[in-house]
Formats: sequence, C-alpha cells, structure tokens
Amino acid sequence: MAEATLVRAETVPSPGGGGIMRRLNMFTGIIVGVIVAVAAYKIGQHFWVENDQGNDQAVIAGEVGWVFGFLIGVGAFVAPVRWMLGRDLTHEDEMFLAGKDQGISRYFRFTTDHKVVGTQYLVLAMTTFGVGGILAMTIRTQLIVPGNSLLGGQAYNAIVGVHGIIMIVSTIIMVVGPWGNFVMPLMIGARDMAFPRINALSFWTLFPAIPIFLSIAAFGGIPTGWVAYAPLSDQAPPGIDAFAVAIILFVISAALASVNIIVTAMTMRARGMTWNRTPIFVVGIVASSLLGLIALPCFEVAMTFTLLDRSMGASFFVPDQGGSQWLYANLFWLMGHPEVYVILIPGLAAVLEMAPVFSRKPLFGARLAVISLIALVVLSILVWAHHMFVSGWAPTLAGPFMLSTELISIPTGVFFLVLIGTIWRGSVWTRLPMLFVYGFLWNFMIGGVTGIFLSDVPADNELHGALFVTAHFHYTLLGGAMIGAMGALVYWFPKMTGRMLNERVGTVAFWTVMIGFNIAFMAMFADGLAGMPRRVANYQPEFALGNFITTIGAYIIGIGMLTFLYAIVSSWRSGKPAGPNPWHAKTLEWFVPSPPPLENFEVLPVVTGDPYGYGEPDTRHTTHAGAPPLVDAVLVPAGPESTSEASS
Amino acid sequence: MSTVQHNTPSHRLAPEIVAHQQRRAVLFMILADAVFFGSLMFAYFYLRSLNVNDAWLPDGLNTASAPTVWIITAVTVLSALAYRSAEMGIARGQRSSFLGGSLLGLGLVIVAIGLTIHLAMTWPILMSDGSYASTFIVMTFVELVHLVILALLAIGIWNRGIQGKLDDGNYNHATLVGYFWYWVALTAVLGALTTFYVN
Repeated sequence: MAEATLVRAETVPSPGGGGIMRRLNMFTGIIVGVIVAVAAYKIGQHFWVENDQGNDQAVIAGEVGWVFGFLIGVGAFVAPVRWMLGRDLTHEDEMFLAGKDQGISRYFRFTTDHKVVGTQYLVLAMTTFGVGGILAMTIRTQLIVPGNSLLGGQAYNAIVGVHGIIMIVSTIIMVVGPWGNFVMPLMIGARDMAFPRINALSFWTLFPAIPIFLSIAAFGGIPTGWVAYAPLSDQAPPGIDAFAVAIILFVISAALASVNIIVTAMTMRARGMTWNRTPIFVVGIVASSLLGLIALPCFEVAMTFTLLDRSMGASFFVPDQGGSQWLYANLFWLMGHPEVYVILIPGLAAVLEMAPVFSRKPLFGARLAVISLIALVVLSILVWAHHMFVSGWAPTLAGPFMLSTELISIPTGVFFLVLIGTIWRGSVWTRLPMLFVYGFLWNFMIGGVTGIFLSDVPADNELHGALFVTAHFHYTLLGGAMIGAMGALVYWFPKMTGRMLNERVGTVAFWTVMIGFNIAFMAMFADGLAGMPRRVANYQPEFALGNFITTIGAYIIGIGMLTFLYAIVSSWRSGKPAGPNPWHAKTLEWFVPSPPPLENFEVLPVVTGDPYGYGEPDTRHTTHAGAPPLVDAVLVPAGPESTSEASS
Repeated sequence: MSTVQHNTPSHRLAPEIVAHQQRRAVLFMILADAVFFGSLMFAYFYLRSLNVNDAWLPDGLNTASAPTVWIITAVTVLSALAYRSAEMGIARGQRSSFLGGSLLGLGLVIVAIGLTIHLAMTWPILMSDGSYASTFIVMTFVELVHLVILALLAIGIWNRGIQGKLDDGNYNHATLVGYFWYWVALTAVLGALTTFYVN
C-alpha cells in the first residue's frame, strides 16, 4: 500500500508557487508596519490629544497599527484571505511557503518549515537573552558599591522591570521555539508541525512585539518592575502601554504555538509511539504548552485592563472608582506562578532526556516522572496566592495556599530521585550535555529547598521583600531552567546545525557560568538573610561585601555566557561535522541526517520499543561505542494512511 | 498524487487525520479563549462583590439596557441554531440547506453586530463610570470582537459552500466554524447572565 501512495515532495514541480508571497518578507512587513503605525499614531493624536489620556491612546493606536501593518506586510493574512475567497493555497504555494530551495532568504519570510521557525525562534531568543543579560550587568554594576550614582532610581527600576520580563519572555520563546518547534516534531517522527502556517504566524506575531518591548525605554520605561502592579501601573509613563501591548502580543503568539505543539504531539506521533513510548522531553513540552495555554490569558486580561485604565479612564484597578489592585494581583499571579513551571518543565524534561543517554541506562521511574510532571501542572495552578501572603489579601487562605505550595515539593523531589536513580551505577559518559545535568541537579536542589522556606507563611513574611527571594528564583529559573535549556542546546546542537559544539570551549563556558552563578547568588542569599531589600538602587554599607561579591559573580556569568555564545557561533560556522547520531541516542530525531532535510523523514518510522532501553537485554544495542542507530524502530514507506493517532 | 492534501502537502496525511487535528486545534483555541472570557467574568464578580468605596455602580447611574442585551443574545443564539441546521444539511449532502442556513446565520450575526454597536452608541454609561461600567463595556466589546470574527468566518464558509468546496464527504471546515459559532453563542448567554441576572 505504501509504495503506491508514497508521494515525494521533490517530485512535485514548484515553479510558479507562492503568488504574492514571493514579494513579501520581513522587510516589506517592517515598511508597511511603520507606515500604518505612523498613520495610526497621527490619527490617534488628532482625535484624542485633547483629553487626559490622549497620549496613551495615540501610543497604543500606533503600536496596534504597527502590529497589523507588519503582519499584513509579511504576508500573514494571505492564506486566511484566500481561504475566505475559496482560493486555497496550491501544493506549489505550500512548498514555497515551506522554504523549498530558497536558501537563507527563507529565514526572513513567512516560512512554514518547523526547522526554519525553530531556528528563527532560537536566534530571537538568543538576541533577547543578550539584551536581558546586558541589563542584568547594568543592574549589578549599579549595585557594586553602596551609593553608586550610575543609574537614577527611576532608571534603575525601569531596567529591573525590563530585565525581568525580557528574561521570562526569552525563556518561554526557547520552549516554543527550538524545543517545541525544531526538536519535538523530529522526536515524534513527524514531517512537520500539525499546522505549519499557524507555526509561522506564532513567530511573526511575536516578532513585532520585540520593537514594542524595546520602545519601553523611549516611552519612560516601566518603573513598576516586571510585575507592573496596579495602581503604580496606572500612574506610570506610556512605557507601560508598550509593555502591555507587547505582553498581549506575546500571549497570542504563545497560545498559537501552544495549540500547535499540543495537537502535533497528540496526533502526529509515529506509529507505535504510545504515550508510554513517547520521550519524556515531548511529554514535558506538551505539559508546559498546556500550562501556558491555560495560564497566560490571565496576564492578557490583566494587561488589557491596565491599558483601558490608562487610556479610557476605566476603573478596574482604581479604588476611588470601584476598582481593586487585588484584582490585578490575582490575575497576574494566576499567570505568574504557572509561568514559572512553563519555563521550568522543559529544562527539567531536557535534563531527564539527556540523563539516560549519557548514563546508558533506562530512565529510572519513567512513569513516576510523567505522573510528577502532570502533578506539577495541576498544583502550579493552585498556588498563586503564596505570592500575595504579605499583601493582606485573604489571610484566611494563607494556610491552604501554604499547604498547596508545600505539596509541590513532592513531585519536584521525585525528579531528583529519577535523575539520581538514572545516573546511579550507569556507564556515565561525561560529555558536555552531562555536565549540564549535574549543574541542573546542584542548582535546582538549592532553588527547590529555598522555595520550601518561602512557601511557609512566617518565613515568607520575613523574607518576601528581601534579596533572598531574588536569589531563590534565580537558582530556580537561571540555575535550573536555563542551565537545563543550555544543556539541551548543546545536546541538540549537532542535530540543528549538523556540527558538533566545540566541547573544550563549551566546557570552559559551563564551568565559568556555574562558578559565577554560585558566587553571585550564594552571596545574594547571604545578603537577603541579613535583611537587604530587593528592588533597591542603593543600600546600607553593611551589605557592601555581599553585593560586591554578587556583582563579581555576575560578571563571571557574563564572561561564561559570552564564551558559550562564542562556542555556538564558531561551531555553527566551522564546527566538526556531527553525523546523524553523535550521542548514540535512541530517539527518532537521531535517525535523520544532521541537519534534517525539508521533510525530516523520507519514510515515516514505526516505533516498537522504549526510547530509553539502554542496557536492556531485549534491545539490539547496549553501548554507545561505534553503534549504529539503536532505537527499536523500523522504517516503513509512508502513505497517507500510515500516520494515524499513535495511541489508537 | 491524488493523496496529496492541498492544505497539507508536507504532511501527506489522510483527510480524516487532518480533520481530527483541526478539530482539536479549534477546541484548544476555544479553551484559551474560555480562560480569557472566564477571567473577564471573574473580574466582574470580584469587583461586584467588593464594591470598593460603593463605586461599583455610583448613585444616579443606570445599568445598560437589559432588553437590548437579551435581544442581542437571543439573535446570537438563533444564528447558532441556524448554522447548526446548515451544518446538519451539509452532512446530509443538502448543499442548498447549508447555503440557506449559513446565510441566515450570517445575517443574524450581522444583526447582532449592528445591535451591539447601537447599544454602545446609546448606553447611558461611560467606561469611567465605576467598575460596573468598566467590566460591562469590556465584556460587550469582547462579544463584539467575537461576532466580527464570526462574521468573517461565516462569509468565508458560505462562500466556500457556494463554490462547491463543501459536500457530505468533506465538511470539516463547516464543523470547525460551527465550534466557534456555538462558543460565541455560549459566551453571549454567559455574558448576559453575568451582567444582568447576577447584577
């Protein structure tokens, strides 16, 4: 059946496809976006400048105009309009959209190939991480000595706010981008995402948010910090408008990407890949996407209310007019705590994915790990109010929220058990990705344990406003999620680029980051325990030593990150060719060439075994040494009917 | 070559699998929209229950016209029912039934849009008239956005019906539009109940 129905994309002629899309790209998007933005701003000024909120309204109009103009100019609405007109895209159009034979220009178009989109996301995330990192260095430079006048109070607050949100957003971009887009379809044996055009739309919806994010500085910054608490946000300069519009765009983009990731994983897994045989990383990405899909709209609503309060005189957060700042706090943290797990789970899942590969042992307690992932998702929705213990909101609920928060430590603890059980007595192959597994274990242990302190109401009352909290969440998000993500990047770098990451430089980067990180944030813990408040531009001389050490540590992190960046760029350009499976891993992405061809799998794989069956008697290969592809999968020619709901 | 799906050439999946994917995707998007809409309802109930400084509905202000809101809701629900009959028609292979039902549904949606705009132009409250006004206007505006998106989808699916792109063996897009249509009708009912019955 399969041979008769197998259709090779390469055999389909492509000339003539693309239509108007051939003339549209990122640059036409920018041109149209700027024109529409200026027009909308001028119209906004003309109609609204007379009233109190006129400037806010004009700024918002300009930003919305920019977004719509950009999306029109990049071609995002071509397919929906053609659907309405009944003129569906042809096969040739789709192949053009997939970027076939377009070289590097496909990275600047509305390209639908998941690998292109994943790479676009990766470059965008690295750029925004770079911006966030520079802001972090600026913050630490301000705090290197007490009484430093490098930044004023307002500027300091604005930078802290932008640093916070840009790091959060960047990490979520990493989840939906390189991991959800590039790696996940390969791991499940799919040729692309379920909805390639939505995939491209999710990226190009995010892209115009970046200039809006950066315009925050031009419009007076966000002196509220990244949480943008009301009523401060109602009184802040128009930078908050830019912040809110960018967040709304980001949420829309993330929702599109999440739906695509979830449906792809649910419906496009290779034949035989039941959920029990699905790699833990895929489960983690799905869990993270689902959590984001549920949680992020609350932030969108909070930002919409903020915009309306500021531009239309609404009263959602204005107590004089019947509003309440607790409404904001609840909406924000209904998003805010799950969002921590949206960021954390993929990093954690990546570490769980790498540990068996480099320990040459099955994933210990794999089913327990999946159950714990699900528990994390559920519990993370039920703990938001622990961020409001000291706000005075619903004190009678402090006990239940303390309990639910402490409960989260159980599934979290399971992951340590799973990781250590996997490594224990394994034939550990200490390559660079494995170092990141160790780094994750160390950092996340400290982040997790200090989190248990903070879930306790009395301790939180004492520490909530102190640097202890800052150190805790950096251990969790930077030391845990980010180290996991960096490890994942090293692990899949050969697949993405076809080249090995320079391990010597990468190892130097790893140790530099780890040492700098622990210096910086251990000192921050000490200052926090001693009572130094967070979010301050200046401090008492008694905290001088701790802050000095933290700043030195931060500089070391910066050097490490630059080294890591150098390793990536230089290896991408001229690294050693990787071959299809440099780690001798079993999952499906290692069955295709590196980098993968346009449609990934010439024939769709059928999975017959556990992805982590290293060392088990019934697997054909037990060691990494010189082994051909190890997974218990066979490749069969694919017809249209050969891919079906895997679990059916 | 006949196995190639026009809209999914790179997947080369069977039509029923593509349809299955699309239905799930729409349901997940509705889930995200439900969280958004649920957050609006939460804001309404929360501010209503707090009534901070007695400014939920300050003295001298009236609520919006209840009859108009209920008429809009009824028209929206009727449009969904009309579309449901259209959907059932195309499933039975009755193209004319689909075209008639979807056109009637589209017409009712346009009426609902017109009534909503009329309500907005004539209601006795401004966004700045306390938290009732703010929450009510936002919920109404969101419903209007729903209706506008729905109208575009309805035009598209009706046009595709005219062009013969839908039949009893290929009406998944009609089903997808239906999912959103019923969701919009449900939000209209929930919104009306929230802002009037519970007020």
